[in-house]
Amino acid sequence: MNCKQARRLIQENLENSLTAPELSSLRDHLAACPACCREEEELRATLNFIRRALPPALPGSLRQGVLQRIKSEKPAGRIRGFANARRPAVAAAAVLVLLLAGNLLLPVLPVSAPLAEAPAPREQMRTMLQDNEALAVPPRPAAPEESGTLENARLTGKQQVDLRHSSAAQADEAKAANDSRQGRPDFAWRLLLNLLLVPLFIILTWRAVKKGKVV
Amino acid sequence: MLLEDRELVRRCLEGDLFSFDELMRRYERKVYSLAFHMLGNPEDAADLAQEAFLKVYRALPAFRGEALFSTWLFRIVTNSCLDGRRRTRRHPPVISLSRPPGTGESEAPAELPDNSGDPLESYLQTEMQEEIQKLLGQLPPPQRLVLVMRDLEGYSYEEIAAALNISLGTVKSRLNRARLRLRDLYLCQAELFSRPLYLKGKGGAGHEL
Repeated sequence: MNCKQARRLIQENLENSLTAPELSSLRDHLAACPACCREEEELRATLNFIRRALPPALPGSLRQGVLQRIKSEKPAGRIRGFANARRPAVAAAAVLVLLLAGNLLLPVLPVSAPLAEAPAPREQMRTMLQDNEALAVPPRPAAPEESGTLENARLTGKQQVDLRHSSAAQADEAKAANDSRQGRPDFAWRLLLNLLLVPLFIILTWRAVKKGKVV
Repeated sequence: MLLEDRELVRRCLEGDLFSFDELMRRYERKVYSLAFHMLGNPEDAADLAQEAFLKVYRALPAFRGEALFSTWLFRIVTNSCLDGRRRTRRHPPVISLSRPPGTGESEAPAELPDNSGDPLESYLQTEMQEEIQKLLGQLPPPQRLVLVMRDLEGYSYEEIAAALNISLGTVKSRLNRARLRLRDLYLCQAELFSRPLYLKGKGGAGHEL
């Protein structure tokens, strides 16, 4: 047995957990090696000293104190406790929905926004479904504010929803942008959205996972 | 009949505070003792134990029952012990024995150790307990925690591994390192203050007192 093995056995022997053959081979080594022998004695003395520690006297008010604090915060306590445990996960899910919605809807919305003043080239960018609907209502060159109120009554339900979704700001921006730069604002919005929401999502997910681990 | 922890947890979740009191009664000694040997004084230990029980109560709805309640409880307690943000008192205040219990805060009197025996014996006993705590306090907290749990409180390796969420091998190696370091500290202290750390037997160093 070398000293390294002996040191391991010395530690285990402090808990008297050695088998008989292990113990006898350790004894043989200790008899021959003064350094290990001293280590054994020192460790044993240290542990014997430490193990004289007595269990401390328990304060009588421990449980009472906890119960009082629980009672004082009782009204919202349980609900808040539950919500606390779940909050990051719920928030992460909400952000994920926003992220998906933003990325899937944004490419569609700016195109369908200037519905009333849509010139011919834009119609090619629409999906087949929207194309069909747009053809059902003949596009007329007019200011969106005026024609919007007039035509709302005649439009189908789905198109009304489309118009409502495309806010005035988006319509203005789309109008301001040239036809050649039509993709740019859309791209900028998506970039901004993703830059904001993706890190938020990662942070929230991380916190949810961390919270789950404690439990 | 003794109810299982699991059943008590279920009743707690239905709003039964007596069940939570019973759960605390079962574990308060172990929790407090661990906290005491980690922090070195009764005030901080009581604070930590109470905060840990509060955390447990608040987190009960999220306890999924996959582990034993005790494992889960000690995970929270050991986390609190290692929480670096905890402020601890450097110099533990002396407990006033003259102040009648119940005058200051609405506290029940602390259980005092039975000192009815030999006064010299009890003095030496107190002295030695302080020396032990001083020595433990010099270990880095992660090592101290493992050593206290194993060598003072007698937890099994498996219990320690589960509470700290580390492997059995890590528990063993950390414990070995903690013991070696404590040995160094013990020898160093014995050298610096070359006075008897505890006196037993008759004659000899008695006049030093």
